[in-house]
Amino acid sequence: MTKINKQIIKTKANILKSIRDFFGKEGFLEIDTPTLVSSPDPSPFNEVFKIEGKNLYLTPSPEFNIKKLISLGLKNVYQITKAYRDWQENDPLHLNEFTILEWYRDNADYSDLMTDCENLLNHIIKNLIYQKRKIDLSPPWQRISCKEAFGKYAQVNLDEFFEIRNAQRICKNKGYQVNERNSWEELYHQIFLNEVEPKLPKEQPLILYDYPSPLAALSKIKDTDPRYTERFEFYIGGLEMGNGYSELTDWKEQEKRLKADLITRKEKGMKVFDYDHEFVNALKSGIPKTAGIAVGIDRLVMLFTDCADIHEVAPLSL
Amino acid sequence: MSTIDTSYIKKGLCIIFRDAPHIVVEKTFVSPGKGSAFYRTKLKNIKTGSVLEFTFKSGEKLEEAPVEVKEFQYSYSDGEELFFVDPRTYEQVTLKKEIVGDFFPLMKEQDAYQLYMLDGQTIALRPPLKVRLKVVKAEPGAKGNTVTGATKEVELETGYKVLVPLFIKEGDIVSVNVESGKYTERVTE
Repeated sequence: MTKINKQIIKTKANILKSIRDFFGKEGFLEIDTPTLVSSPDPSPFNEVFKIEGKNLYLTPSPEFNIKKLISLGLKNVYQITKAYRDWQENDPLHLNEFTILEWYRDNADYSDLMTDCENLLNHIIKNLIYQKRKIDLSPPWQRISCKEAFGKYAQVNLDEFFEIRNAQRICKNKGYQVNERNSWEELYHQIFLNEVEPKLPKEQPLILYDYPSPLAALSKIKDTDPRYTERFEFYIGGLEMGNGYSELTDWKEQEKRLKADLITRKEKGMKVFDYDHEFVNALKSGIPKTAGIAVGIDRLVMLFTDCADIHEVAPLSL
Repeated sequence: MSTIDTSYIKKGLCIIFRDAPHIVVEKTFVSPGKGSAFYRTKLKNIKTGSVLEFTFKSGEKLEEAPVEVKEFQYSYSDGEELFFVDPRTYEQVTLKKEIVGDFFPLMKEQDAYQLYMLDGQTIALRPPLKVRLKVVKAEPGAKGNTVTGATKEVELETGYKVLVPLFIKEGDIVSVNVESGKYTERVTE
């Protein structure tokens, strides 16, 4: 057995304690929702674990269940729980079983969450050294939109990239392999991963915001420009730590996205199931303006223990 | 020379990238938040030695570099270089240890290995998918570590240490995945 570093166990305990302390002071309620579900989030980018012989799955995210509770009138809630994703290959940034923090702020949008992230991280720690790089966590963090980042680092005008033919042409001109089967998302991410993400500043935290609408997930489309969505991710030391957004509360749009995801899953040969009707009904019954975010606790542990491989901070995990 | 899929990319493979032969020195699976699967690689240009990073979409097609692959017998290492001999001609060739990298602790003297050749020069070792090695040190009837209860560490004939299931004993031949460095199975003789 690989040796277990006790400091890692203690660091994780301290982080969890500090998070609970922060949300307690903010007046948030800690909730607990099941990890065993019958209709998991159908995102076609995460495969789920199915319980053998039963129509039950290990949840890849607590989001649907939390929103059901919010629809009952609970406001300002957070949950720290396990989530499960069946990654097809081993990599240094993902675990099949991981610890996730989600919080939902009432009557708020994604910019309020950005402030929450700054405050939460500063409540836990002020400065740190990660992979030989000194990182100052004090706010305000640098904020850059996806459009600005693509323009600055990849010399791509994202406004022009939305049309698939344009995206194919831009990628081809840059020397990437392009074929008719490539989705828009793949073309976007190939430029992002090759030309944008490696150049994002790492000496201080960074918030990347206003994602293109095809990557909306469960976020609200911007009123001012429907090509973009009120979604952001934040990076510390080059590690993506969390993904938040102004929540989509329109049940019709939500149902449409769930159905589309299930069709994509089927096409990709992934596990298929019925979508979560209770979740759609919860939105139908009305959900107040809310912003919510998921943060990977294991990634925080990596950061605070200076580990480059997430498996090092999850001893005993398979 | 053959066309391969990104799933076949592994450390040590020679591919043509932007018209030049490159060795894959690092490969990791990448999955962006709400995105498809990608492979992040570090590629070393065989001719210039310069290293670059490139992230491939899963499923991209690549050409294996048209380098010659020749089988040699590994003789020994002086700490910096590895010495090989052609078993037919007794021609001796060398390879820098750093080029072999993580694979070195799995190499056994007198075993045959495939080397990449370009213009008569050895450029890299083409690592196999798995190696079979004998267990030389194992705690007898070990209960294993009480925390996991499922594995124990054993030493293989090359000195490499690996976690194996409790039933593995001294003298067993085990198979190790070269890429992950992990035990895969007991090889019944």
